[in-house]
Amino acid sequence: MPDFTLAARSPLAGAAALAESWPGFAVSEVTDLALASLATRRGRETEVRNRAKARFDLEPPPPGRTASGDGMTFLWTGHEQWFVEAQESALGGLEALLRETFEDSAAVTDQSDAWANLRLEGPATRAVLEKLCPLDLHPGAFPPGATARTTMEHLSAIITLRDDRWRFSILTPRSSAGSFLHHLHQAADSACGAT
Amino acid sequence: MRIPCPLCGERDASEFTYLGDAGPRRPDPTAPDAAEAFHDYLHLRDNPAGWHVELWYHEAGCRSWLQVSRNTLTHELGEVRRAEDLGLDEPSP
Ligand SMILES: [Zn+2]
Repeated sequence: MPDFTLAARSPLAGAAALAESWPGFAVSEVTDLALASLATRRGRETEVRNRAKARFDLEPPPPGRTASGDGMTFLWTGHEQWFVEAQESALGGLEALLRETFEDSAAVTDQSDAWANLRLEGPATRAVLEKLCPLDLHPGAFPPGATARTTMEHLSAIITLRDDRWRFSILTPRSSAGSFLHHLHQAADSACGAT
Repeated sequence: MRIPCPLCGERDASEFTYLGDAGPRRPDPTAPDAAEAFHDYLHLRDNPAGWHVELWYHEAGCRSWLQVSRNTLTHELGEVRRAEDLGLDEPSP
């Protein structure tokens, strides 16, 4: 039997000019985060909150919000549902850790390789996103720690504001991540001038 | 048209998919008048010019089913509530 050695490839590995920058805007792929979904089973809402608090000392956030603590971030994705992000290396298996923490009170599914995670930053980031994102991203409407699932150019996207200025992240499905990146580049060329 | 999702806030209609009238309930197939009841359920729908209570799915957002009051003449939106909160997710007979 041949001995194969397979190398892990991030969703956008090989994409031309991924870590690219424009005046006031830069995009890069985040490849060191594990991602898992957490969906509360019916009637177990209080238990899920209590287990999260006991294990991670954080309250799963309400609609449209994120919460961080203990090396992980919860992003609200739906009614009693969250995506959980963490440095995989620091935890030794996010999915296993969540399963152990929540047992049968919630459904846990590894999502790490299903989503491309893009980091967008720079003072022109909102100007770029204005061309793609149907949501109002003004700080008054979308403050630090806000997260939302929507579509951009008909592609699913979960957008989060990560700091109090202009560092956003976008999770978008792996299968269409190349197309998403293309649209992002077009928007950046248009908003910031072609590189 | 923008629909105020109770969880996500006001969102563009392109994020939602439409099911239809929220009123009809699937009849009991074991009832003696089941054939007639299913005929009504399938074919006899109201088509009001004005307020209509209908079901929408926030597919590209929080994936909640919503009961939405909408004026079919003006697209003005009235009360929007999660179907689950209204007990509309209970299985039909
Ligand atoms: Zn919603």
